[in-house]
Amino acid sequence: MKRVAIVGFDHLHAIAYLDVFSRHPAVELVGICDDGMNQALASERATSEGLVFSADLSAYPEWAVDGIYVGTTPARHREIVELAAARGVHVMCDKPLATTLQDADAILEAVREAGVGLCVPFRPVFQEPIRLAIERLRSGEFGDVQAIYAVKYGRRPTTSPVGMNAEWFLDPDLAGFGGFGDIGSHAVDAMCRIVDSRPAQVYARLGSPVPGAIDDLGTAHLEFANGVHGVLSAGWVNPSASPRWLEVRFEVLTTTHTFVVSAPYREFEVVTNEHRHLVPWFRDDLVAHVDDFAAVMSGNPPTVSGLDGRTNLAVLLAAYRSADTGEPVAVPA
Amino acid sequence: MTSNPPIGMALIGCGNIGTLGHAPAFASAVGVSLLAVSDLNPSRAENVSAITGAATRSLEEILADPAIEAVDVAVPTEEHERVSSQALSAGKHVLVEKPITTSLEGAERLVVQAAQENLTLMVGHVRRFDPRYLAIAAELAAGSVGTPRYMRRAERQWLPFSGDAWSWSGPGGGVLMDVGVHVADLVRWLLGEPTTVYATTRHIRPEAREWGDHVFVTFGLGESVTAVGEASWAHPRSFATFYGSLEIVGTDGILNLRDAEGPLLIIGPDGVEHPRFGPLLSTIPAAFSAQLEHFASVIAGEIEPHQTASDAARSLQACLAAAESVETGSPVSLTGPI
Repeated sequence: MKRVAIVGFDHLHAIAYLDVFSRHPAVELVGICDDGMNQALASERATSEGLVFSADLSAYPEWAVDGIYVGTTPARHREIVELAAARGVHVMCDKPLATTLQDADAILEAVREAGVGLCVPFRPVFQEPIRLAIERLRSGEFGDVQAIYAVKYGRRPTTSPVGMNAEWFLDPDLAGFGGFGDIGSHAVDAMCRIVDSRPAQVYARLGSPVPGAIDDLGTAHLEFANGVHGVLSAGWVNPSASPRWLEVRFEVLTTTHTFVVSAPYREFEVVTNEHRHLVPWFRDDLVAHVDDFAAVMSGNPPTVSGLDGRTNLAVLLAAYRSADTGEPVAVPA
Repeated sequence: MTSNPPIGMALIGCGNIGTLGHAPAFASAVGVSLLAVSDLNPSRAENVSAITGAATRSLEEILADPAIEAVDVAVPTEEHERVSSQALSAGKHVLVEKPITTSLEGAERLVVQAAQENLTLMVGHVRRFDPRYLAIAAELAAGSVGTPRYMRRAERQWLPFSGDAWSWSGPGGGVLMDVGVHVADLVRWLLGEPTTVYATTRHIRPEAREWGDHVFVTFGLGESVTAVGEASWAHPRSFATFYGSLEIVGTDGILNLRDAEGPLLIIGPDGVEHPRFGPLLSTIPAAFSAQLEHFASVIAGEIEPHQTASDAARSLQACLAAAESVETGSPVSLTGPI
């Protein structure tokens, strides 16, 4: 069993990983480090789960851990990962990997030099319907992918139902991006896997409800290196009455077929006099993340590598630059 | 609806849209009477004559017949200007299929000619008469989703024409001009005027030689409103009943039209059928009838046109800008009236 710690309780996923780590057979969660806005919640949950808690983000090496999940604000990822690598600790770093390519490169260099593993938990590739679509597309029985349209809508993270403070998502200095980057990064990763290539050029338009505020909805044309063209619409626009927290749709045109993935999970519907919602009845993606992280800690390659995280960041940065300049932007290799 | 005697009309062009869209509409439309049909290909004209009961006549005979007050022009796009102009010169009111012409100059010539002759020139942007889009326009006007900030429109099918059809390689062909103009017109009707256009196309089917058969186009409407369209002739044939979808994200909510979730499924031993509700995937028959009735009422002077021909030319302009963007690889600015 691999010993792990949670470093940073800023990301909404941190509380989900707390639960999954606690019951996953391959890992033993030993503690939480957090100095952020959810510190009280993190400390309280650590106590109730019988874990160590520290308000010092560099305390975990004393806990003899094999790996850490990094759930701080993205602007701090570099310092956290560099320390972990220097201590020989494997890393699962939440997305975006960093907020600048320089920081992402420093992260990749640190883990390479130290010989520790790094994985980035993008969601869709671990979700059953999308995994199955990718598997079927790769079988070669469905022609070549020609075009892809993707939708990924979430609610504004400040409406988090789990009691976490997520105001930092609305601060570009801390988060790096607004709604398009936050939600769209997952879809970009899935699109790269579905298309089996990486975007070479991006043209994007980003919207804001209030001038000067952080973007909440974006649309991007992605031209992939292998000739496939695609469009992604993503952001924090899912109304609170929507039956799902996340709306996910991938529409893939091949030379012979069309694939439509219309939800991230298999689900059933509940309708009452007050509301309607859809209940996923098989959520394997978080468990699969931890499977993947456990494999990484044993020296195996991850499903989503640090390099994938860097490519993803490069696409987001190109999209935001395109939205600023009004011109298509090449994605640096 | 007009209380005058029905307006004598002729259908010029008995190809796909003439046969499946326009011809059947005359039977149910009030205020018009189809007196003649015409096509360079006699068997096509005879086919529509058999369906409608209208006589088969040449274009010259139609234009010389004083009983025919108006014509419905459904010839290939490249011929729209020539045939419409001839009809206007002969004193006929004109309803011409979309796009109005293949060039802005040609569109302007027709608009000027119709004004000089004091005749009605209307362009068949039939979506504007389709109950589903009228209901959506009313919903937006009622403000239930707030101010629209994003729209996504997809129109996708497997084009059933052989590779020598003008749609694939002729002037005015290609999915951008033929279907994309509907997308552009819907964006303009529901959201407003685009200020920038960016588009990419792909040639997917072997028939798609000169023009792309798949297009993604993004319309920017000022800083904060964006519309993205997809038009395709390359989707699998059985994609048919999934033809169209429309989503609008507003400041207070989302409106979603999902044609794929049709209300009738037939499940058999070998698969599932989503039956079609009309001969065309894109448009219900009632929309073509409503369009003809509107045209008749405009001719009779009873109402103002739902869309002027100049306005329809702006939808062509947006498509031509998209084509330019495909050529240059850069967004194209649209400024000011044409």
